[in-house]
Amino acid sequence: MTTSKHKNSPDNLQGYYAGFISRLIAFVVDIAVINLSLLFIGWFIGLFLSLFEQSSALGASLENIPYINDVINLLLNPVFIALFIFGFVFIYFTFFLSFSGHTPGKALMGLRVVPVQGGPMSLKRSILRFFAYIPSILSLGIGFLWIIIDDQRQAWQDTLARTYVIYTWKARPDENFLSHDIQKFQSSREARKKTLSLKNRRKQEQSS
Amino acid sequence: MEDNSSKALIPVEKSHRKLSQGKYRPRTSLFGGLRSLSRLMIGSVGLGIDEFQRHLSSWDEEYQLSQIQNESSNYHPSSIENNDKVTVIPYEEIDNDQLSNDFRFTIIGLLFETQDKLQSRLQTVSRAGRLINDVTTPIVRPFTRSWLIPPLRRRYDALVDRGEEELNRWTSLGRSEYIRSRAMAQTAIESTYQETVDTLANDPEIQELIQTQGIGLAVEVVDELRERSVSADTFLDGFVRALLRRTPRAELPLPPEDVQKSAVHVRQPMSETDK
Repeated sequence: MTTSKHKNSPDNLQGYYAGFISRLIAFVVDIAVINLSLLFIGWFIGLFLSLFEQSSALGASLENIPYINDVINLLLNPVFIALFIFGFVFIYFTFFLSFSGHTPGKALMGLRVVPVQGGPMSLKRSILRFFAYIPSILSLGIGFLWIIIDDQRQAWQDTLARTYVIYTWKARPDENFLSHDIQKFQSSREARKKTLSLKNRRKQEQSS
Repeated sequence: MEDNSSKALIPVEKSHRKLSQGKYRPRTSLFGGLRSLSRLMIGSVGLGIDEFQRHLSSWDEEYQLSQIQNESSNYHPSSIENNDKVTVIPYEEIDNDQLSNDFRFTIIGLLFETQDKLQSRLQTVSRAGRLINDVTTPIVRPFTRSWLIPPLRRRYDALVDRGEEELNRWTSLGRSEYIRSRAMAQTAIESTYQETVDTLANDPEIQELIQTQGIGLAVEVVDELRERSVSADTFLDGFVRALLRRTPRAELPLPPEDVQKSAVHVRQPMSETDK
């Protein structure tokens, strides 16, 4: 446990801001869930359209239904398909965030989106956060990478929607995984702290 | 113990009973186990061979069926000629490692060729034997019909009768023992199978293991993934800050109290919450 090695470090990181990798994995899981769902819906629509094949007796009889060809053409229209996918993704993120504060991917990784003042997420804020993804995507992902350098580990969509993403489980680092590298960074951090404090002292001495 | 079970399973032939009462001593306590073991082995081999032959014939039928389907579906293949008909093998399925394939195919071809050759040679030998018999019988007939031969022939016939009687006894014994052996092996297999099923069905530890294994494994994987991702978060923070020459984080900043409370009120995930 790397965090407990420091004097003021907490036992676990529950309630602390979640880092980039955890959020990335959660996002990947969400994308996988969305893709699988769309695949299933596409298969179902394909099955529905196959009923209208002219070779089948059912297809021949269904052809007499008024406007059925228009409906089929609409279903096969690329613009409609793109809008449908966008709508599905929009509903997926806004519904889950406003309902429980986390999408399935975030739930798997033990993360939750909360407003900066705490409490549950509102639908309005969820919608705002969804549309705030757009600048993060348009900036070629810089908006997402902002998590790494931001003090509160906020991406651009979090800053715009005034939300934080926090760990909801008693988050602890793995005892073996990357522990050596993390310790190295921590020791270099302490060394840098010491040099900084030495510099400050000298400055103080010189000024006095 | 063994005698009762075997009687219950199969009818013992009368000839065998006579044999048991006469020269044939069925068992002593020492040899009873050995005999049972022999029976079990013979029965298992018999059952195994029968089962293997049954599978072989079914596999062969399946193979023939697939061949017919392949031929009817106009597949464009390369072909390898067999004895009976042209066997179709898609060219793509032939391995690229030509040298090792050639060796393998040569060995297989040799095996089948040897079988065919042996069969034809045996037929030739049989024909030759019949021919020799036909040729030599008229020549040796004066000797076989002379006055010297009948006493020798009687002795020879008596010997043959005794030999046949002995052979018949062995055959009878073998038949009855084979039936017993098969029955015994069948019983052994069935009881072993039944015991295994009973153990799996009734042992609470195994039941619990089966029920919890799937869930437990998934929980473990998720916990491990989460822990590693937290490590990776910390590592990436340190790495990027070092790269950008930013002042390293002394500590992770503590979120406002209300935000922290929001983490506690949500549904507690997985097993980690109880640790």
